[in-house]
Amino acid sequence: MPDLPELDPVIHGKLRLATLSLLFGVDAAEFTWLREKTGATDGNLSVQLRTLEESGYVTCEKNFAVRKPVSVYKITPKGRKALRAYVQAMHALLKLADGLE
Amino acid sequence: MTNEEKNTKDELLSRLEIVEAMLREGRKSTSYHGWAFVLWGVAFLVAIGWMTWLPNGHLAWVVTMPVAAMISSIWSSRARDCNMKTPVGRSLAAIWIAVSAALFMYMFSVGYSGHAEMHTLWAAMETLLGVANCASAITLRWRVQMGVAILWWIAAAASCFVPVALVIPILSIATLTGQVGFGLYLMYCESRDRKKAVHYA
Repeated sequence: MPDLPELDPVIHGKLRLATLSLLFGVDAAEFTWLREKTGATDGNLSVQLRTLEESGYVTCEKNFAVRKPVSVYKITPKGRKALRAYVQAMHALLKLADGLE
Repeated sequence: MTNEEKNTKDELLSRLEIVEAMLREGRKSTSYHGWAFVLWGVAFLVAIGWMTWLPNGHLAWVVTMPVAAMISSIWSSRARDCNMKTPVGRSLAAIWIAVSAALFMYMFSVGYSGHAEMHTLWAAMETLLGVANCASAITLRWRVQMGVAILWWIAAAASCFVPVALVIPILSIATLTGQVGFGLYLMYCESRDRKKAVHYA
């Protein structure tokens, strides 16, 4: 039986996957922009971003803009590598699945 | 394939779609390609101006296009690499590479074979640029770019019917709006999204 590639459980969650994919394509992103693009609630998005941060896939910088707190997120090199590996693993699994048909 | 295997496959495909959709959103929001449209638009206008008013007009496109290609290549290689190797990214690159290659081959061959006819030469160029923008717009699901495609096709159709003296002005106007104008609009969108999303140069 061929070795099945493992899917990173941190990235596998749909909202975390969407968020990391968004961050992959930009230099950095505000929380509000991520929320707008993913359609997630504040609470849910905060939790998922904290998970990604604890895994070292994103960093968060808190600034102030006109005295309002602003959280800015950036994907880390580890996060980029992890997302690439995840996509490659998905393609490998799909190839295996096609082989079973 | 069992139902469970099919569900798993569908699940995998849906996750890949999420990645592609979010990359598309990021690319649309913070596209780094506005500069390319402006660069090529300016290159076209320089070539048109040289061809029309300056000496050795037959050299205009032979000189300006490779120079623009070189600048574009250098600029691209220095730009941040945010390209994931997904089908969407590959599709967009394929569209523009294919049309650019076709334009180069066609314009060079027709232009220097002595068989060029003003109406059809420029109409063909405008048609191909419409094709590239249309394919890109469909891939990105972007109505503004579809509008640009339609603009190029209107220019192509108009070029076939107007007197020869109006063909170059039509090309100039289409270039100014469809290339330079669209490129500036993209750069404005990038800058606006950067204020919201992106904070660091």
